Amino acid sequence: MSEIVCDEAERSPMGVQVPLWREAVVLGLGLAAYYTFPDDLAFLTNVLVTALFVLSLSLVLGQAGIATLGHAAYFGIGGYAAGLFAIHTLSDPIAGLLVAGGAGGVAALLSGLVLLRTHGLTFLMLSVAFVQICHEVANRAARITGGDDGLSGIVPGPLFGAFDFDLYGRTAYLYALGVLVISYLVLRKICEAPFGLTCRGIRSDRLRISALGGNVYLHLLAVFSLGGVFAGFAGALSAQSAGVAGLSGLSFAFSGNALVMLVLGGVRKLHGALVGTIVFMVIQHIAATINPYHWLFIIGAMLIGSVLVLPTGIVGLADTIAISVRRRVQRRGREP
Amino acid sequence: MNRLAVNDVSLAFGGLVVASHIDLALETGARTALIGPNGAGKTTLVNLISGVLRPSSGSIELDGRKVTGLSQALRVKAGIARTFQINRLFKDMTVAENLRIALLQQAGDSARLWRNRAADAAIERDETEILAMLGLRAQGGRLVRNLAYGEQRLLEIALALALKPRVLLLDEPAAGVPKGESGIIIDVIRQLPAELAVLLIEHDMDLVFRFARRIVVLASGAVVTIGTPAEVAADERVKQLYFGRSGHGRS
Repeated sequence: MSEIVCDEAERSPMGVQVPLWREAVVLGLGLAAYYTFPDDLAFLTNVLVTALFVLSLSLVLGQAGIATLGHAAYFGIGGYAAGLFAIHTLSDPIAGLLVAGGAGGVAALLSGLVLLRTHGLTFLMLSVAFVQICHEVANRAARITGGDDGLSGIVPGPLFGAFDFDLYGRTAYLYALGVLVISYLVLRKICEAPFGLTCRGIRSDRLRISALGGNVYLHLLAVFSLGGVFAGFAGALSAQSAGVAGLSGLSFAFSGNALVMLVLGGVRKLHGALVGTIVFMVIQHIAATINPYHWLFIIGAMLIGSVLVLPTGIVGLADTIAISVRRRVQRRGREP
Repeated sequence: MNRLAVNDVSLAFGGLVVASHIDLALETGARTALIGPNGAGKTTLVNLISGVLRPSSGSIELDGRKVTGLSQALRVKAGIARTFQINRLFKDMTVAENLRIALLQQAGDSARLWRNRAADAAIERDETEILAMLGLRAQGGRLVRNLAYGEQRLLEIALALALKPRVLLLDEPAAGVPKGESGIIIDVIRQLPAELAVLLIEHDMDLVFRFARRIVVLASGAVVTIGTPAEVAADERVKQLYFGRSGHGRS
């Protein structure tokens, strides 16, 4: 298909056809950060993990238009699944990652069966209720989950049987970066495929899709489950890199923060999730260092500013600028 | 055998009868128009045939098979497609994407998670063909909300055609289109595939008489008469309906 199928086509900013250039940029930036800030790898790993989580939210909310505040449930479930699997069964990190993705996906599928019968505000409230219930269940089942203290003692085995998770978090960082880049590639391909196009159609007018003979419920259930899989991956990365799976990953607050990052970066395009997460977390990190008591003011002001000034997020603003620059260049080129 | 048969269909909301014992048949290749004053129940009949509403009594058959119990989506799959009186398009997408969404539904391919050269090429062929049929080829890459209203009406028809229907229900395709642009819609409707059974609802009598081989006149939810354009034009009851009170040619 031609480039009109999706604005995510393989066309670099210079207008040249380069396959996978977006993934190359993410990988390059990730490696640059690795060599530039070797003392901040724990924080940077956290950024990568959160970015993957927000990416999975972008699929569900940005593409299919399912407004949810309960997405952290699948992150948390993935984290516990990876932790329990590492402690009781097998410490191989890749196996744990896949188990966590499966757990997140199954949890999203089962909850989606009920939740997706509703939409709009009702869905939003039910999604909050769902994550709160998960939070409470994990809190009460302290014998399995460690309750308020979190599930500790998660020690992932060597990656590919060769690379140990070191004290400095180098392996953890590169592992998280690899998973993020591959996940981004897979999600982007899905968005360009008929599945993603139909998701955007549903977001635009779900009744019209029904009138075309489509089954909106099943399609949303599929995309919701897929979002759960990738949220589960992110949960596993978090548990494996930190060595702990806690209640904070299973909270309404984390769902809300992810939504803020997504809106800040831009909901319509996948890479908005990456940009929004990085900007949000870096500003949060710096602001919290400067003033540990009032940094939330800065985050609040940033959110108000972005909603008022940047309705399409940072990515939307960048696109608008790029289009106007391109027009100006073309106009100049046409003049004698 | 009739392609589409509406047998003794009635629908009432409490005491309000919106369809009363309607009998209607479309043969293969039918060019039938449905006319009647405002509130006669024309769109209600389209909703009954397309499955948005279920009749209180009576049955609807497609090629002899009962479809009365089927949902809207299943009736689309069975071959009944409709357009909407008010545009329902994916406004922030391009013309080509709108059409592709419909074609993917028709092909049962909308859940495919990856690109496939052969399948995508087949969809693209259909897309080009339908866009060419409707004179929208040059507009493929444009966003729907930037199209002229008449072009949006054409795309509405294109989406219905993408479903490869056997029966096409056109609900006022020229509604809201300025006089100057309605010509392209008439041209498109007259070039529809010959074997397609078409039921046209329209207020524009010009369009109705240029298109229809049979005309069904509806008033207060019941069929007043069915006949050729000449018969209907000469019918006293129809004249009464249309000219009796207002004296104007349009309802």
